[in-house]
Amino acid sequence: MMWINNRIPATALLLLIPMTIVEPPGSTISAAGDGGFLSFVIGFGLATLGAVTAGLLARRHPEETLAGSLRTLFGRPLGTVLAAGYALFWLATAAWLLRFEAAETTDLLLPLTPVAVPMLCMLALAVYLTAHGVEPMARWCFVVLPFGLAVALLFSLIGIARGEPVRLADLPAGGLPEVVRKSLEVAGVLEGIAAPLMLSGYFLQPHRIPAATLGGMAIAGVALGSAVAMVLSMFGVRGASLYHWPAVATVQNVILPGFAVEKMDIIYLAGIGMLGLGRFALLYLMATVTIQNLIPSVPLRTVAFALAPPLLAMALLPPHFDSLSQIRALLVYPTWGFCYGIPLVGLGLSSWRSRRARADRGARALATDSRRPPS
Amino acid sequence: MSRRLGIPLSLVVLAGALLTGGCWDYRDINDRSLVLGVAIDAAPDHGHAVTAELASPALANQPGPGAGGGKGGAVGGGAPPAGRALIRATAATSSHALAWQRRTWSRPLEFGLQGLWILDEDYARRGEKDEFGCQACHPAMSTAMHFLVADGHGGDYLAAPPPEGTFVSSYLSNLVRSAAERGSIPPVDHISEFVAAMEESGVALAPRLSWDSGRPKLAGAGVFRNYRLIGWLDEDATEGVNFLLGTARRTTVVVPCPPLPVGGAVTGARMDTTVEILGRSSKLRVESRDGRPTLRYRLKASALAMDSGCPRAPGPRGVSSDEERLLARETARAVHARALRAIGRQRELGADFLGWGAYLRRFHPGLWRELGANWDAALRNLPVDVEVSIRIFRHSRFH
Amino acid sequence: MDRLDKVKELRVSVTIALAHLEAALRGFDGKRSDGDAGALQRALLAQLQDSDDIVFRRFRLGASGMGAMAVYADGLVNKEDLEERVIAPLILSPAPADGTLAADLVERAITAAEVKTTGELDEAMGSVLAGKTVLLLEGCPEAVIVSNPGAKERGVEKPAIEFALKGPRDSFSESLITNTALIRRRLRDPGLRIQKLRIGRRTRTDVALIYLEGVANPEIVQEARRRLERIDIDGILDSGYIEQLIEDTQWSPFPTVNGSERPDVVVAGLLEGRVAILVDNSSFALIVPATFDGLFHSPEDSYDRWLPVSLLRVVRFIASFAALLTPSLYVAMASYHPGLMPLKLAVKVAGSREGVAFPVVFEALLAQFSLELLKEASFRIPSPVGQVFGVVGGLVLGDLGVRAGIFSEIMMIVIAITAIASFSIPTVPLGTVVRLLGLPVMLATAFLGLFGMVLTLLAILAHLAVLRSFGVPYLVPYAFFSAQDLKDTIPKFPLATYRGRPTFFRPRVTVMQKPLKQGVNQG
Repeated sequence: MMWINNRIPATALLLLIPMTIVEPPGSTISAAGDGGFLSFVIGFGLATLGAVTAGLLARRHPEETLAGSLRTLFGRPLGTVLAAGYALFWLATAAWLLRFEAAETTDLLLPLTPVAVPMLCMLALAVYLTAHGVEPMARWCFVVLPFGLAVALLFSLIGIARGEPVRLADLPAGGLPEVVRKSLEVAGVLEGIAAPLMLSGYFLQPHRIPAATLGGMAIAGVALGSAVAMVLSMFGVRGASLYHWPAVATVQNVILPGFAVEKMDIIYLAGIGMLGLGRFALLYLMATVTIQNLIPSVPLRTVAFALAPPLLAMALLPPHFDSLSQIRALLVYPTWGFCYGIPLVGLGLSSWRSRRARADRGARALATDSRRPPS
Repeated sequence: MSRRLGIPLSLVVLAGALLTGGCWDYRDINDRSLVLGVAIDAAPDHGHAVTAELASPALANQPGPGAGGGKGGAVGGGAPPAGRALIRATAATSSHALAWQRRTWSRPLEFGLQGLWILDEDYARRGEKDEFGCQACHPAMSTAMHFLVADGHGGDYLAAPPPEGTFVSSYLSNLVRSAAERGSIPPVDHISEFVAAMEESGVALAPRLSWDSGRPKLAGAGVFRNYRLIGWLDEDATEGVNFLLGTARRTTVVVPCPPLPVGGAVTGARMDTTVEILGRSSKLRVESRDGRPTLRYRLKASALAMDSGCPRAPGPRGVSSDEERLLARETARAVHARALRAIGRQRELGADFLGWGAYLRRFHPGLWRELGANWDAALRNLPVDVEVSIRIFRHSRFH
Repeated sequence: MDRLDKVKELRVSVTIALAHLEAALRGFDGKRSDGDAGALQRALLAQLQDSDDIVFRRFRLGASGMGAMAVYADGLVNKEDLEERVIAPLILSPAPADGTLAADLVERAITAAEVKTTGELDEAMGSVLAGKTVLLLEGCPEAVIVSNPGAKERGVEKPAIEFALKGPRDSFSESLITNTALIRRRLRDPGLRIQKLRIGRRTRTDVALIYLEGVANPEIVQEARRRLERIDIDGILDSGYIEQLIEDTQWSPFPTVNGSERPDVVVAGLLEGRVAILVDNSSFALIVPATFDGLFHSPEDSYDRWLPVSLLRVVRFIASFAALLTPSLYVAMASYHPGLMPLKLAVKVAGSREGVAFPVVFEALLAQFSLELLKEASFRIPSPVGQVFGVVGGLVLGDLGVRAGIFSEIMMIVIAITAIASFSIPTVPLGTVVRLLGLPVMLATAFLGLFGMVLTLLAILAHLAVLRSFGVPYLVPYAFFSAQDLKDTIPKFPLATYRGRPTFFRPRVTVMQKPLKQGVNQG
């Protein structure tokens, strides 16, 4: 009744954005690791610009969902096609992430367990949350994120202190072109920055979206930046690229002062697993919401349940781990299109139209004035 | 499917799937053999002899052929005491050897608690980079905390009865910690750090394990270049490395006690005394001397005089007496000698374990462009100054 | 199934029709007496004369000699009071002046405090059954209802479950009147609304819906009333019935209705903008909406200073987690990730498990089950023996279990930690939640190790995020918080800093306290 199931305050972006971005053992570190800390900084700066673009566009269309605003901006046929493209993109990204998380779990914690088992468990949780709407999901992220972030930050800070922070200044062997290439790659793996746009139409105070987006990016930047800094200061630019799971390998070196447990990587994995699962659930939510907006007559619950089998099938497709890395490299391109390109074009179109509309109104007002007899 | 049926049904399916085929990785701790340390030795025909020390409480009361000299202590009330076991295998690669061990040992090996990885000298000199890299990536090997390179067979160290406690690996791990604190071994904790250093500069140090009258001794370092052992650093040189890198924490040096000047005359016999060097800082700068770039180290440390007989006339609190100043100068001289020894070894071996190259690359890129092209020669000829200042801040005599 | 229901329904309606017919034949239409002076009397006699505890006392009014009858349930009314204030004045009273007999008697003769008249059979009947006296007068179509309760009831006693070191020592009794009085005494606000409903077709139990007009959100009040009015059941024996019938979901281990036996807790809830539900014959009040945070609050938290309370809440929070997770964590460490343990502990655990016949998870399940058995048994056994039994049972089971190779020593320590932690859980519902969730968490851990444990915890959090109580999200104020709402959560802030009510109940008036005037406390 009073607490609307499908509306969230814009300030929820403060945590939703970090939740969709921070996942330290993941691809960000792999991408940034090769390129040094500089490429992370540049890449993250680009991502922040992208996030703000998405936030500004969402503020301009406060009552419209993604499909609605795309149709308004690009016309009905093209808007629908683009929205469908978004749905497919999120589905693919979510499937990749599901497989990646499951692979990490089975690789490091449960070597004999079939990879489908953790996948099924994580998918079940994501479907349960998604079926109940945007608001419970945001609430869940709100509770989970602090735990995950606390673990990630704690280890990162200790790791940085143990390593040689001076290594952060290192540049990759390829020099500046390599840095630029890697920066683009880093920006291309942070697809979560589109969250404000994907959930537009669900926010309660739309005027706060850009500020909340910036705040969320700041939190994400601290968390992700410290994780990248930990890996780089411990292993250096070249060493970091050796590992499948660089952050976990780093944490194996970390000894908590005065702590009895010697191998902390399992604890770290548990904390990071929370973030990974949260990220997957949010990506799944975005895919579900996008599709449901295209076919509003079907309830969200049905879409959430119906999407699970195709997603699982997609996630089971890659035959082995290396193909996962290849797919990740391929996903960078659609990320650039969907998370940076389309929002930017949309924002340009939107502001151009509103300026033209304002000019039209001004002209009409002048015309009305001119008909008035001079006093 | 209605909601009322859907959720319970999916739960039942999920639970059924887990119950029928689940618990893939479930194995109780007493059904595993906890690997505490692994030694890899060179075997003939490029083979690998792998020795693993296991904690096996079940073996404590029945020392069979595989069981080593487990001392065993009572666990809880009436539970069997803990014992240890050694298993050995030889194969073409270390991974094969481990696999063979898994096939011939009744309980699966659990590497999660492994604290030690020992390579013997012959193996280390082979420089098997691929195998090395693979071991660092291998989940079983990458869990090792401490990485040592041994004089003689690594397996012999694991086979010897532990001087204290139940397990050799635990004893050695403790030894590593105290040696690292003293600065007599290089500050390397984890195999992945070793690999990272190797990837970055092509050179890395590993603690050296040797025998000293029948007991394992940790002092000095093995110098690796491109994953190949190329030489040793003795204890003094290793301490010098730690001074220069600023990683020494509690190093003791033995220096001659300065004579006590009384009325211009020197009294008392000359004797040696022990000084413990506690605080440390090391700063590296590049200065230009006679138009030539020179590396300049400035080491600063506080020290504690440990023998009650020296200094004999300490100054009041906060003020150093002449004797203390002399003692500090002697200590600085000892530290200086160690640092020069380390630098000398670096030049001899042509291996940049002090990280000059990385320093120049980061902070003096212009100079690095000039020298980096012919770095091996530059490493040998680059002039280096070491300046040491020590302050005796406390001594064991009350005053 | 449907057919059976229809047949039952038909049978009920036929019975009702027959009753109406019978009443009509006797000259009464079932509802109103319609001016027929004897109808009420006949109807009451017809329905109640077979019950031996219903007393029909006939007498004649003073001078006029008019026939009268007092109907009451024996044991539920105060007979002396009835004699002195009702029957005696009536017998001695002068004849009434005109036909407004009932009103006249009420005004002039009956000296009891609570008197009213009615012409409704249902009300008259209900009053007799509820322990009031109904007076029927010859030639008068209305009955007089006199309230002179005399049922034996328990007085206001100390709280039995929610014991607090600090704060008032009274608790609700079984009498609704007493209970509402306990609330009214604490809350002298004209906005305090106590609205009575009667629920239970046969028990006709009085249920009071209590809220603070002007503070409570009308939508919550409306929702509570709607859920109460929806109930159609034979009998309500305790507030527990109502709780089960109005909760948001029957499938959740978490209670979506809070309860308390302490009037001060109920008043605190009312002041926050919640709604209380009191049930006659029940010493337990219901408070809605419930929140997850409320599970960790103990009554004395409100009365103690903020520092000790904050510390205690942290301890309780940890204790709840320890009670929930310790056995699972042990299973995870001993069966999946020995690397989580320090070497010495791992060797000890392996040694201690060496002689045990069962796998770790089965051992843990068995130990947990034994603990639950011991707990349950020591609650059931009379208290002096119970403690001895608990100690002896625990010792014998533990010691012999270890020697027989059923449990390991480490397991005993784990289970002891779990037991101690579970005893320091502050509220009964939270204890139940922890017990209910312990098993799935352990099973998930047995299947997938630490990953399974974390996954189950996340699933529990997901369930909490989805759950609502009367429209209010259950996880408030932990998610989507305002800083003000967080002042009374795990850390409690000083009372002087509380400016407003919790916003998550959307109260109509948010200001709770104005800032203290400067320097007042420091003189």
